[in-house]
Amino acid sequence: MTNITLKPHAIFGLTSGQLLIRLALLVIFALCAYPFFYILSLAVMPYENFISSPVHFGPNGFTLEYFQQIFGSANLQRAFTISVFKTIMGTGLSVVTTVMAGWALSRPGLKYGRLLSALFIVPLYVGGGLIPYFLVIRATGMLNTFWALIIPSMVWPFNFLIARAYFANFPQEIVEAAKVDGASNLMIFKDIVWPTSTPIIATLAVLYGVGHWNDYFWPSFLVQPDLYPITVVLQNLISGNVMASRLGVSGFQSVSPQSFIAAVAAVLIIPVLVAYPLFQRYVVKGILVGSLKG
Amino acid sequence: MNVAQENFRQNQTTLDKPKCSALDHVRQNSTLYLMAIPAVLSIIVFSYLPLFGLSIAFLDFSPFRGILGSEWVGTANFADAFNNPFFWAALRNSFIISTLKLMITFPSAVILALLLNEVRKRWLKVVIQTSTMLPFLVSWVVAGAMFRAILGTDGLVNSVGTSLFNTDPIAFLSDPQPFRWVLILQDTWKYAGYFAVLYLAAMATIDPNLYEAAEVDGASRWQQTVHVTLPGISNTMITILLISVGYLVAAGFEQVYVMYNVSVYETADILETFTLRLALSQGNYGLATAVGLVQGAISLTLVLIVHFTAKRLGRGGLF
Amino acid sequence: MLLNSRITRVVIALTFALVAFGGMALAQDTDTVVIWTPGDAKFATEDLQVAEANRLLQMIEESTNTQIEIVQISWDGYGDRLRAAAASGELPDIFSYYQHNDKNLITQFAEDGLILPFNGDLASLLPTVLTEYEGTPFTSELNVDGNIYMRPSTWGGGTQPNLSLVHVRQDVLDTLGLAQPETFEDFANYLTQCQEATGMNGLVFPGGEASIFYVNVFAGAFGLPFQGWVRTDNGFESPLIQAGMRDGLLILRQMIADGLVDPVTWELTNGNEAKERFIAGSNCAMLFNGGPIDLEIQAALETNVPDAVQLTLPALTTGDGVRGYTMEPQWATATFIAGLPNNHPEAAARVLDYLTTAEFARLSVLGIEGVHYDMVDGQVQLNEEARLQDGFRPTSDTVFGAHPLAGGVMVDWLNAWRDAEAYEVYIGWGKSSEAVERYNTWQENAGMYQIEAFGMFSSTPALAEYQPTLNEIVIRDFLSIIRADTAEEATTLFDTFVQSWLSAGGQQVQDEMSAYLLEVYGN
Repeated sequence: MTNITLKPHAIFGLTSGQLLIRLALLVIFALCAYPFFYILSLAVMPYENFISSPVHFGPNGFTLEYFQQIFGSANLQRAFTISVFKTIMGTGLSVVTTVMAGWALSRPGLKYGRLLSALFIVPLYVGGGLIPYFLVIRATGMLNTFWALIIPSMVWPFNFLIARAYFANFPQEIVEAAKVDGASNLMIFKDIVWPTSTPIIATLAVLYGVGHWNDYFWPSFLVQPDLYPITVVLQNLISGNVMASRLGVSGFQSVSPQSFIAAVAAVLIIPVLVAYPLFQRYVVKGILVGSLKG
Repeated sequence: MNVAQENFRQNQTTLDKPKCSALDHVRQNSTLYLMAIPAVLSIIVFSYLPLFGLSIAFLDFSPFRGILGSEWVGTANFADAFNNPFFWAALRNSFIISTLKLMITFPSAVILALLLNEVRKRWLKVVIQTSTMLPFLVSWVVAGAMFRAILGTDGLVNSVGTSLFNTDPIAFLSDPQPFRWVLILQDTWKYAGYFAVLYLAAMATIDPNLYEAAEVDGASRWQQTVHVTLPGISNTMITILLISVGYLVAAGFEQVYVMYNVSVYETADILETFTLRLALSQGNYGLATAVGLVQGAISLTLVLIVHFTAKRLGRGGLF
Repeated sequence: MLLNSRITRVVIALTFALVAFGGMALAQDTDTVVIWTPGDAKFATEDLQVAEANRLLQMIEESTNTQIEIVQISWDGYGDRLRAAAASGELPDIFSYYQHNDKNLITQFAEDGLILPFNGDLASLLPTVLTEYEGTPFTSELNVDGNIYMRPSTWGGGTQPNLSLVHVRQDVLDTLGLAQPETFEDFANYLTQCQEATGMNGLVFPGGEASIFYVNVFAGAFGLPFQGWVRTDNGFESPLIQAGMRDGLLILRQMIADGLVDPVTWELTNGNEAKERFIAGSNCAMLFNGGPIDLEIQAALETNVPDAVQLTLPALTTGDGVRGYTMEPQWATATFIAGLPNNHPEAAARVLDYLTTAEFARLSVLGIEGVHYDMVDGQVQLNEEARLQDGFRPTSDTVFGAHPLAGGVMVDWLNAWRDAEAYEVYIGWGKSSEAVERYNTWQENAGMYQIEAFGMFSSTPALAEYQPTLNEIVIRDFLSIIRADTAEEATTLFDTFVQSWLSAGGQQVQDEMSAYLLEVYGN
C-alpha cells in the first residue's frame, strides 16, 4: 500500500472514518442488490446473446419475449389474479386481526393478557404435521375454497409478538386521558390507536404481504388447481417440477431454461420491488418500537 | 420496557385483584377480549388443534384408519429414528448450520445497523437499507434461482474465473465444504438487512442526551457506539437471540431443500430434509412426526431455559 | 396516509364481509365419477374449463352412463394430498398413482380397504382391464393376496429400457468421422474429441438427484440390472452388491476422473435440467429417458442448434460383448378404484374399462372422426381448431400427445401409445419420413440389448421396513464411489458399502426376496 494519508475532511468532505463506512456500505449494497439486477438482466437478455459469450454482468440486448411467453397463457393470467386477491385480502385480514389482538393483549391490567399471549410461543416451534392440519381445515369447510388460501395462515405468532411488543410501549397516559373523557375501549382503538399506529401496520403489511405473495406449498395442498395462485405454478417451474412445455407455453422448444426461469423469477420479484418502497419508510418506524421489549 | 411502566402495570394488577372476580374482570374488559378473539381463536384452531396429530409419533399410522384406529407402537418410531445413522448426522448438521448462521448473521446485522446509523444523508440511508431488505422479501425458491445463476459451476462467478483468469471452477454448490458456507452466508444475505432494521429502529429510541453527554466527556464516535448505542439496542438483541436459540435445531428447511443435492448430504442434510426423504416420501408419518416432536421438544426446552435465565438475570423474557 | 385512507377501510370491511358470508363448500353430485390424476397445473385448470362442453368427455359419459369430473393435482405433493384425502374418508372414485414400483403402498391401500379388488361383480365390469393382465406376466407381482387391485398402464407387449439411456450427437459423430460408439472406450473417445473440437461440455446427467438411474448404463456391461434382483448360485441377490456393479461404477469413476463428465452434473437435482442443457447444445452427451421423449429432444435441439441430431445409443460394452440396459416392462403408472362409502365403484369400473379400450386410446389421440379429424385418402387429417376447443394439446407441440383426459387414467401421453395407428399419427405428425425412420432407429437401439431383472415390483415385509434407509445408503455411497480420487479408494468404498448395505437390513430383505422369487420363478 502506498502511504497516502487520508486527511480528515480531505476527500469529498468526508473524514476517513466516514469514507470507510461508506465504502463498506457500498460493498454491502452491491452484494445485496446485484443478484437481483443479474437475474433481471437474464430475464430481458435474448438467449442467443446469453450463450454466445461466456461472461455477462448485465443485460446484453433487450427482449420481452420470455414475459410474453409466461403471460400468454390464460391460466397464468387467472392464477395471477388469484395471487393478487389472496395477497390483498389476506394481508388486510391478517393485519387487522393481529393489530387488534396485539393491542388488546398488551393492555396493562388485562388479567389474562399474558396467558393468552403465551399461547403464541409454542406454535413458533412445534406443528402437528400435514395430515392433522388438513383434517382441521377440512372440518372448517374451507378445503378447496378461496378461504383456505387466507384464513388458516391469518395470524403468524411471530408477527403477533412484534405487534404486542409495539403496543406495550404505547403511552398509557393518552389512553387514560381518553378514558376520563368517557371513551370506550372500542373508540380508543378505532379513533386513537389505529390512526396513530401506521408504523406497525405498515410493518405487518409488509411481513404478511410478502408471506401471502410467496406462499406456495400450502395452496397446492389445500385447494384444487382452479384456485392455484401463480406462485404454485411459477415456483414449481423454477424448482424443476414442471416442464415449460407442459405449461402450454407456445413454442416452448425455443424457450431456453435460463432465460425463462429468470423471467419467472422476475415475475415473482417485480411486484415486491414495486410495493416495498411504498411501505419502507413506515416500516422503519414500525419495527422501531416493536423491537423493544414490552 | 421502562421502570415507570413496569410499576404502573404492577399497580394496575394489584389494584384490580381484590375488587374483581375473574368473571367480573372479563365482563369489564369484554371489548378487549373480543378484539383478541379472532387471533386467539385462529391460533387455537389452526395451530393447537392440529397438535393432536403429534400422537401419530406413537402410532403405526395409517391415514385411513386414522389416529384412533392406528396401532399403538409406543416409542418404536423414536427408536427407529435414533437407530438411523442418518438421523444423528442430520441432527448434527442442523445444529452446526444454525449455530454458524446465528454466529455470523446475528453480528452482521448489528454491524450493518451500526454502519447505517453513521450515515447522515437520508437518501443514501434509504437506498442502502432498501437494498439490504430486498433479499428478505423474496421466497427461497427465487433466492435459490439467483444463487444458482451466480455460484453454479457454469454460473457467473465461475465463468468469470474460468474465462478471464483461467482458474478451475469451484463447486460451490456440490462440494460439501464450500456448500455449508454458501448456506450460512446466503442466510446472512437474506436476513441481515431485516434484523438491521430492527436494530436501527431501536437506535432511534435512544435518548439523544446520552450522546451529547458522551460528547461533552470527549468520547469519540467509536466510544459513543460502544458505550451508548450498543447498550441502547441490547434489549432488542436479547429478544432476537432468545427467539433464535429456539431455532438451533431448525436450520432452515426451505433454504436447504431448494439448494441442496446428493453430493452435499454429508454437510447439508438437516432434520427436515432427512424426514422428507426417509419418512414422508414413503408415507411413514409416524417416523416423520417422531422426528418433528424431538425437534420441537429440543426447541421449546432451549427457549424456556434461556427465557427463564434471562428473566432471572433481569433482562426480560419472551412473554 | 396510505394506510388510513377511506379505501383501506373499505377493503377491510369488504374482506370481513366476504369472510363472513363466503366459504360454503359445494355439494357433491352423487352420480358423478370423480377421477384424480397427477399432472401439471396448466392442464388441470384447462380440463375444468372445457369439461362442460367437451365432446370427448360427453362421449365417454354417454358410453358409460356416468357424469365424470376430472381433477388433476400438481405432481408436487400428490401423494400427500391423496393420503390426506384418504384420512378424511373421501377418495375420488378413480385415482392414479405414479410411484409405480411402490408395492408397499398398494399393499397398504388394499389392507386398509381404500381400494377394491377386481373380483366378482367388479370383474365382470372390467373385462378389458383383466385382459391386460394376460399379456403381461410381470403384473402378477403386483397382486395383493392373489387379488388384482389395479389397472397397470401398459403399452405394447414387450419390454423396453427407458430410464437413463445414452444420448449423443449424431451430427458431431459425423463431423469427427467417428462411428456410432459401441464400447465405453469408443464413448470416452467421442467425448474427448467432441469436447476438444466443439468446446461443448462432456457428459451430463442428473447427478444431484436422489436416484441411481445413471447406473443403468454401466451395470449392463457386467450383466447386471440396476434395479430388481438377479439370479446367483445362492438364489436371488441384489445386483447392487455384486462385483460387476463395482466394475461398472469404476468405469464411470474413470470417466469422471478423466474430465469427461460435466461438473455441473452434480448440481442437477432433476432430469429435466440435464435435458435442458443437452438441448441447449451445451453438452456432448447425456443420460436421460428414451421413448417418444426423443422426439421432443430432437425438436428442441434443432431449434437451438441448426442441423443438430440426437442419437440414442444401444447399451455400451467393455468389449467382451456383455451389454444391455435394464429390461423394463412397458408401463408407467397404476389406476385404482376406491372403495370408501362415498364412492361409486360400479360406475367407476365402467369408466375405467372404457378408458382402457383400444377405442378410447384412439379417441384420446385422434379425437372423434368427423369432429377432431377426418380421413382423407386413407390419411388422418387433424382438425386443429376443434381439437384445441376440446382441450387437446396443440399439434405444434413436437409430440402433441393425447387429450389430457387420457391423463385420467395415466400419464397423459401414454395412452397414445396403445393403438398402433394412433401411435403412428402421434409420432409422425408433421415430420418427414426420414425423421420418423430416424426415430425408429433410436427405439431399436434402446431395446437392442436388455438385461433381465426379477421381482422389480415385488415387496416383502423387510423391504417395506428397510427400503428407505437402504436407498439412502445406495444413493450416497455410489456417489462417493464414482467421485473417489483413485480406483483403489473406490474399491475400498464399495466393499464398505456392501457391508453397510447388508447390515442395514439388506441381508434380511435379500433372504426374504430370494425365498419369494424362488417360489415364483423356480430354481
